[in-house]
Amino acid sequence: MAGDVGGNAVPRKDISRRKALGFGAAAGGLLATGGLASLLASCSGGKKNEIAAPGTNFTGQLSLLLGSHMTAVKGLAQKYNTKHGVLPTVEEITTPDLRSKITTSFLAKTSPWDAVFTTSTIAQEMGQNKWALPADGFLNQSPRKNETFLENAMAPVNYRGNYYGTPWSVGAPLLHWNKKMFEEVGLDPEAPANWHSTKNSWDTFLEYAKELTGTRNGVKNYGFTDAWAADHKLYTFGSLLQMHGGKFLDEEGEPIFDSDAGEESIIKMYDLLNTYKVVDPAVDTYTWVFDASPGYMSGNRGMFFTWPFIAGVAQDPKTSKVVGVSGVAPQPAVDTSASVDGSEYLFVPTLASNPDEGWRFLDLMSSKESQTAIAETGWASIYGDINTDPAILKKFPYYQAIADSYKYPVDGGFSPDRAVWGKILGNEISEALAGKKSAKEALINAKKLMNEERKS
Amino acid sequence: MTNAKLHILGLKKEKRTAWLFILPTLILITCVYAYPIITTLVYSVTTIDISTYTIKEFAGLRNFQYIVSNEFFNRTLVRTIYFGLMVVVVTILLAIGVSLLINIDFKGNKILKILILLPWAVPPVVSGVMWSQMFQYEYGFINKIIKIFGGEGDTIWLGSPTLALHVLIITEIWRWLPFATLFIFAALQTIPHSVIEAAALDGAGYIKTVKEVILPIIFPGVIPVAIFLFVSAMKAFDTIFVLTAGGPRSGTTTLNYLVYLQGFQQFKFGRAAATAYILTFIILVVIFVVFTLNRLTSKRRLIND
Amino acid sequence: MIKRNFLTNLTIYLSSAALVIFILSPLYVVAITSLQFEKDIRSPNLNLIPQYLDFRHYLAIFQPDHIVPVLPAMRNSLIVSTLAALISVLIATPAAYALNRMHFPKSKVILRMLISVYILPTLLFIIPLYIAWINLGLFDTYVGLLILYTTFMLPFTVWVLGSFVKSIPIEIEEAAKIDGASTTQLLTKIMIPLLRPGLFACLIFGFVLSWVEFATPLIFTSKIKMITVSLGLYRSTVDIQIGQLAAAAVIITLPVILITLILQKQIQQVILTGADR
Repeated sequence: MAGDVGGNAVPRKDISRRKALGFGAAAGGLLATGGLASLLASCSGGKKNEIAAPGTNFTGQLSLLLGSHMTAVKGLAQKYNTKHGVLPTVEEITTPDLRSKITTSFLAKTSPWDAVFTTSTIAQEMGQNKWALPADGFLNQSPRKNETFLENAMAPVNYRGNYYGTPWSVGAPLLHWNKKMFEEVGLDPEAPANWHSTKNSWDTFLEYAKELTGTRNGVKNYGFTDAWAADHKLYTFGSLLQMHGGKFLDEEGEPIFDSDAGEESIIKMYDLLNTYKVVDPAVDTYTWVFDASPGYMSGNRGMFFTWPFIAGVAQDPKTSKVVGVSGVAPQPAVDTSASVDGSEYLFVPTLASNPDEGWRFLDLMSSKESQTAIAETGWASIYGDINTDPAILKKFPYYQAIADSYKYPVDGGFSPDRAVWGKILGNEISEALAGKKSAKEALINAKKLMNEERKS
Repeated sequence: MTNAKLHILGLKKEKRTAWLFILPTLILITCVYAYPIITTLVYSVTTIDISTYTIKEFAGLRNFQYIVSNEFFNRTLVRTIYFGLMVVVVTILLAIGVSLLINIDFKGNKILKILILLPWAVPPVVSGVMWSQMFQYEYGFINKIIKIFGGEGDTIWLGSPTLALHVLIITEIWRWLPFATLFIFAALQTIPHSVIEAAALDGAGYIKTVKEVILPIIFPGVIPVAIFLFVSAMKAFDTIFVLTAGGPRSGTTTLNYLVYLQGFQQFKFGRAAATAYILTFIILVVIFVVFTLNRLTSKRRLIND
Repeated sequence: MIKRNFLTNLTIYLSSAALVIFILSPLYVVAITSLQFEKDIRSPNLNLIPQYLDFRHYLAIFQPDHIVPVLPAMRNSLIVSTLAALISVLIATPAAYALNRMHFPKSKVILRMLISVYILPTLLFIIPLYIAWINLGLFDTYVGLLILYTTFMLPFTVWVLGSFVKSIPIEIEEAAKIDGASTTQLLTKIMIPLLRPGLFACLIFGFVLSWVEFATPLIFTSKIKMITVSLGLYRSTVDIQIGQLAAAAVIITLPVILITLILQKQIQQVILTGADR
């Protein structure tokens, strides 16, 4: 198999493009961008976004950009080498820095990587800006061949009918809770397991949070923690929104979050933070899971809305003081339980130098063996049959919770400009949480700013 | 050849050599400064298409209108100017104090002179890491000290826009104190040592001496320092990026940071260019005001003497 | 002997103590954070006076596949900063001499222009530069960064060297001219040796200013191979634990602090000379 990799044959298209770039650079120099840039445009315009299946142009080079939390995928690099004789170079980035990093490159019309990690929030933006190749051809060729492929997780990456990402793991925020703390204050440690199927269990959740908040052994404990900085609060806001039957956007993609459902959701968040003070007061400064998790892992926070994989991390004695006592279940309910899809994907950039190697890596990543290996590390796979395999379920019972959570609404209002309006909405909700505006004002203002931004 | 002719030839040659000496500098400055400054002006009245980096359309003053009519912009403007003024005023006051201190002859004076240089050597990025540790709400250094002194020590410094802005002001003061101190210290050196020592003898007289003798003399030297500090505060970026990313709730977004956000996070290059020009305009206005005030007051001082 | 009273002395020493605490505490905090176990860092166990010192974070960040590639970053920064400082001084010295000592129309105008360029916010020129760099293929290259760093320092270097040039008595030059020295000879054989402290100081300034540059590499590079030292630090925490982040911060700052400490006299002298204007 190693012989397949035929030297460093550079495809013809690339050669002509590079030559044109060279001419363009020499001629253009410091002059205004007009003529030069259109020259570049016409050259790169040759690569249309056709939904073709990946080719077989294996160049022998592969470069990956992965999330720093994706150890499972990183482990596939060695497998790829064994199988195809090409050792990928892996670069890592943390999720909050992801968008800056890749946009800097793509804006500069270059991509040092052939397969890049993306979240549900920015996948459509990559598609709209033509920075990601549509994955339809690949998906039909590979993952979709398995009937238990979790197609629900593909909704966030769908832009105008094309899919711009291949999932490596699926999941939405779940409720985690510290059973030991529950017992210490006299609460039923198994109660939260059924909240998702009980209407209005949010009220119970609030009551429990109040009981859990207090000073014990000289340390202040809080009933709840989360990450609400910038647009990360939209996971919880979005969950609440849908729990009340609301939605971020309508079918045309217009904002409808300024509904009563939206108002109620903000009020509930406000109550947690200010009225009852049951949530970690620095919650508005936590930008992602790993800002909030130390508090939970130290055993001082009773409940945590966050990614499923944290349940695995909670079992690691090196960093967790809640080993063996952390429970997981879908989030509580109002009219219904709900969450926001946080599945993660990889895409092949349009500007990648070795796209076919990139697709081949995605193929490896989507294989049954690789997905099983990934599932064994605590991250749910993209195939239902692996996640519900009895042996795996025994080790990771929360995969059941993930499967259950997909029965409820998991929409996140994903759109190509989600990164921009998400920030606007996040800011406005922050203002409401700080008491600077009413919930309704915040939502109406967010909608106004969002529409202004879209028109400009 | 007459002496005059030789002289002229010599001058001509000197002129040529001079131009040669300065040519590399001029070329670099033109390419990297002059050309972009003009181009940015052009961009500020256009919308740029980021897939081809061509000018999509001429938008006239629309970018400027959008920015200025935005309520968000007004707050950012006020915030930026407040930030700049605070940094300038507090740093200069501290720098004057420190200069006076190290000007006194006492044991440990030398160590102070060395220590005062340190903040300048610390990369602003590292500053971000340092200050986040200092101001971390639960276990940070500052809150720990407050707790030791009996306070609550549970302020979430980086959680409130106002507090975060002031934390940022502190980091900038910390960063520029060395520079300001050295300059003011140098200005102090022009005053005969005996005058200062004599005043140091007599506690109450010292403050009077400072106010009536020292300050007026060093005042002209303070002006360039103030301008430099203001400009540096306007240019502040690294620490904001690492410590607060402009937040919380845009509480630490200065005009400079806003340019970055508009250009590289929202990909609106035309708008970013317009904002950059507005910022430049403000800097120039402030400098002009300071210079004019200085000239007016110095005339008055001369008259009073 | 002029004696001070007790109260004055007390004020002096208290102020000094306050100053020292203000200056040193952030550095101290980062240093001890880098030497504590990760699980103690965000916990009540973090003491102001450490109970123990542990170096594992330093070992961890030097591992080859660590998320923050400290050694390559330092190498990149070292190369670019040194070259930028050298080239900047090389270009600025003749310019400083020409502008201040040679007779030459518009020298004042050019000088003023140089100074005024310095007060402009960097982001004012960043956007066209960014686009130009992409079109010229200078994005993500050493040369690209080098040109930017050198030029950003140029006004400052020319100004500082200018004040050193002015401080050299004109008689020396006139004597040399009478002896028949050409301008180039004048510059190389006479001015440069006399300017040595100034040149040295500018090299140091240039190096330090380049080392701490953050916005420029942030915008003009993207490959991990090109990462500079300050960029390496902007990764948020987690797989790089806070302790490791602190250790990386210490490693990155140490060279520059050492340079400053060793050369503090020269730095002070530059300011003193410059302040004479």
